[in-house]
Parts: sequence; structure tokens; C-alpha cells
Amino acid sequence: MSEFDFSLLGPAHAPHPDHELVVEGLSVNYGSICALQEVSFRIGCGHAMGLLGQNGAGKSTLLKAIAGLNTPLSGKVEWSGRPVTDMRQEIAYLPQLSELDPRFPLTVQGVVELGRYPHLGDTHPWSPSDSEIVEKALTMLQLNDLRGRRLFQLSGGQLQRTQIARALSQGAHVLLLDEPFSGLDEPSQHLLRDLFQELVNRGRLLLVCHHDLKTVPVLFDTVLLLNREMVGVGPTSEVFTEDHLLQTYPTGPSAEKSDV
Amino acid sequence: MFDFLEYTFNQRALLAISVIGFSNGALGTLVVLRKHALVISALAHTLLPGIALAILIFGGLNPLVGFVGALVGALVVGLSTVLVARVGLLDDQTALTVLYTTSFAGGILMLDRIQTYVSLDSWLFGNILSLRDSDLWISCAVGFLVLVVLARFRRSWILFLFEPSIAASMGVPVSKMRYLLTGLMVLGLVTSLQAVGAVLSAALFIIPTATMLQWVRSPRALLWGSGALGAGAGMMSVALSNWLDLRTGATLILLLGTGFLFSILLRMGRG
Repeated sequence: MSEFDFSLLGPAHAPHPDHELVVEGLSVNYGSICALQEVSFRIGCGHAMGLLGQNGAGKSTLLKAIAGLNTPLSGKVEWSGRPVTDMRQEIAYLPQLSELDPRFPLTVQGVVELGRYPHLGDTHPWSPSDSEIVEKALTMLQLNDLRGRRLFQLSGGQLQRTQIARALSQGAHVLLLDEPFSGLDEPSQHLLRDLFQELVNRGRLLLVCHHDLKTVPVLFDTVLLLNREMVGVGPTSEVFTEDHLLQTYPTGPSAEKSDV
Repeated sequence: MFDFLEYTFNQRALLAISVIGFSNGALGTLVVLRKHALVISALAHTLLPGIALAILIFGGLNPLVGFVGALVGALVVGLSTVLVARVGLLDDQTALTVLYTTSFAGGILMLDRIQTYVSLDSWLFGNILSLRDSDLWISCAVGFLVLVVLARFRRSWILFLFEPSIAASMGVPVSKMRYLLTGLMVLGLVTSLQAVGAVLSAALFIIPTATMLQWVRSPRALLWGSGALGAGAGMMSVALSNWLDLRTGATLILLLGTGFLFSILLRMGRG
């Protein structure tokens, strides 16, 4: 059972028909190098989807394209029928922990407050309701006691929770996470797994770049296998198979596969 | 004790250095958090040849000519750095150092040839007392503009500096902010040049923030604190240099450096 109280996020809800992420014919180039070719899939809310593939297979590129961070060569990405670049409030991007500078002069609370930016912009004044939302996010992720801490004073797990709290104060429905488990110790990984479950139960959609194949079946109900182009997508039980994995990891980690 | 304020040039110096100290100290927060301390150092040296060249072409120095020249100098060196690094298979720092030192040397020779009211010594080490009224107005205008741009995009700056990819995912126009920051740095440097000269001008941006970072825990406090520190030290340096007959620019930087050292020592004491 999770120790987190997510009732603040509202009641668990059945997948909403409008809440659908649609990726169609998505191709991304870096210069003349093809990083991602013709990726198409659709997925509704209330799922945790693992993006799997070798280094350089385009996992991070796909995540960034969905976050609207790079300009695709072709294709489209839509959430609830609108381009993701028009839906900044709905989609939160959480980079790898190693990309954050822990010395940056922000406290935990300061980071969570950043989540209000898509709602406030630069000019809207901060209001009591913004404070309330930030409080809720801090409470949900049990960061109340850590709110005054600077980032360098946090463990990897606490920093990851801070990032998720930021996404929740943003009010995001879709969370895009790049390797959130790397660098976390065992207990933190368990905590994060419970958190994922809660978020999915409350109708959030999680898209997660992940490299540890052993944990895939417990973490994700859906997987997307990538090798520049899409090898397969669908429910973990159907798609996460020996056959598909051989195509995804042609030179791949056989030791990890044998554990599946 | 405050007799020196009876002279107009001292009043002007005091006002100018408070404005320059404040706006460049505050702007320095962006430079430091963007990890651009060395970049602004190099940039400061590229302004000199740009300004010299502008004087050569337009036959005289006025603030607009100075600014355009400085901007062009900075842009040419900045862009060639990217090109030279790529073609010559060099890292950015090597390419930048080759280019800014070379163009700085060219600037020195050019200035030797030009008759202006400002001596080479003033360009290198600053001379706040040689300020004219028009210079003061330029400094005030630049300072005001810098602070307005900082305040107008306050939340965007923080996101942009914290993590550009998070910022971009939230709709912050990251590449525009990058150009904006470079423009502000050049503007600020042009005013710093008069106060402390090319050699020391980076210090006016970097040291106040480096000091305040030992004390505060939010970007906003850092920004205003650094501005206040820059202005305060600036005013003290005008007074001190008058009493002790010292160069104002060097006095200012030494004051800031001493304050930084104390902050670090106190931090070590706190553990």
C-alpha cells in the first residue's frame, strides 16, 4: 500500500474519453542524422507507459518531442485533440536528475512554485489559490518538512519527488519522465513505484524512459519499444516479448532479457 | 568628510557608479546562474576593438557609436568563435581566448592612433571621474532598461536559468531569452567600461552575486541583493578613493573582493 495521500488530487476516475495522447507519423532529425522515424501511437489517461530501447534508440528524443522541446521533421503530437505546444499546463517534462544543478538557489518549495508558471506567466500576480495548490502538492508528496531545504541537501529520491510535486502544482495530466529511477536507492525506487501507481489510479498518464528491463512488468501496463523506428507498442503482457526484445536490442543485454 | 561631494564630477561619479553598480550587479545574477562568468570576461575585451573601429569609421565617439561598435565587436568575435572552433577542431574556450586577445590587441593599437578625450588607460582601467553628463544619462538609461527587462520576465528568467528544457516545456521562449541575455550583457558592459575599464568589468557582474550566493536562498533575493551590494560598494569606492587618493575602479573591485572573502570565511565558520 502507498503511504502517500493522493485524495487531494480528486477521486480516482475512469479513463476520460477526451484525454488521449495522439502521436502520428513523428520523425525527428538531428542535423542530417535520423533520430526517430515514423512513430505513431495513441494512449489514454490512467496508464503508465514505458519507453524502451538501446542508448541512441530515440527514447529521450521521443519524450522531448512530446514535450514540444524539439521541432519534428514531420508528424504531429496532440493531447485532447490539440497540439501539445498549446497545452503547456497539461504536460510536464521531468528531465534526468543529473541535468538539474543542485547548487541552484532554490528551495524545494521554490521549485514546486515554478509549476505555476504556465498559469501565471510573468505578469499575473501570485494569488492565495496558487499557494494552496503548492501546499497540496507538497503535502501529497510528503515534502512538508523538506520545503525549506536547498536542492543539494536532498537525496535523489527526494529530488525526484520534488520534480513530481512541481508537475502536480502545474496541474499536469501527462507526466514525461526521463530515467526517473536511475541513481535512486532501493527504498526510493519502491516509493517512486507506489507513487506511479497512485498517479495512474488518479487518471494521470505517465510516459517514462526506462532502461532496467527487469522492472518493466511491475512498473508499466503499456510499453513502447524503440529502435529509431517503432518495434512495437501495446499492453506489456502482449508486446514485452522475447521476439520484440530481440528486434529492440539487436546487440542487446541478453542477461537482462533472460530475467523477463 | 564629505567635502568631495562639492565637486560636480564627484557627484556625477557617485550617481553613475550607484546606477551601474546596481544594474550590473543585478544582471550579474543571470550571468552567474547561467555559468557565463568567463564568457562575460572575454566579452568585455571584445568591446574595445569594436568601439575603436566605430570611432575610426564614424570619426568620433558618441554613446550610440560606442554601443553599436561594442555590439558588433562582441557579435563578430562570438560568431567567429563558433566557426573557428568547428573548423580548427578546438574547444570553445581555446577559440574564444585566441580571438578575444587578438582583437583586444588590435583595439589597443587602434586606440593609440585615435585622438579622443578618453585615454587608453581609461579604457583599460576605467575613469569614472572623466564622465560627462551625456555618459551619465546613458548609464541611467541602460540601468533602467536592464532592470525593466529583468523585472518584466522575472519568472521566465528563473525557469530559463534553472533548467532550460523544463522552461521550454512550460512555454518559455528559451532561445529568445538567450539572445536577450547576450544583448543585456553587452549593454551592461558598455557602462561598466567607464566605471572600471575593460580588464576589471567582469568583476562588477560576478563578485556581487558570488557573494550573495553565500547568504540567500531564492533567485529574487539574489538579484536585488547583488544589485544593492554593487551599488553600495560603488558608492563606498568613490568616497574611499577620494579620501585615500586611489583609482576608483580598482578600489571598487578590491572592496567587492574583500566582501566576498569575508562571506566565504563566515560560511566556512558556519560549516
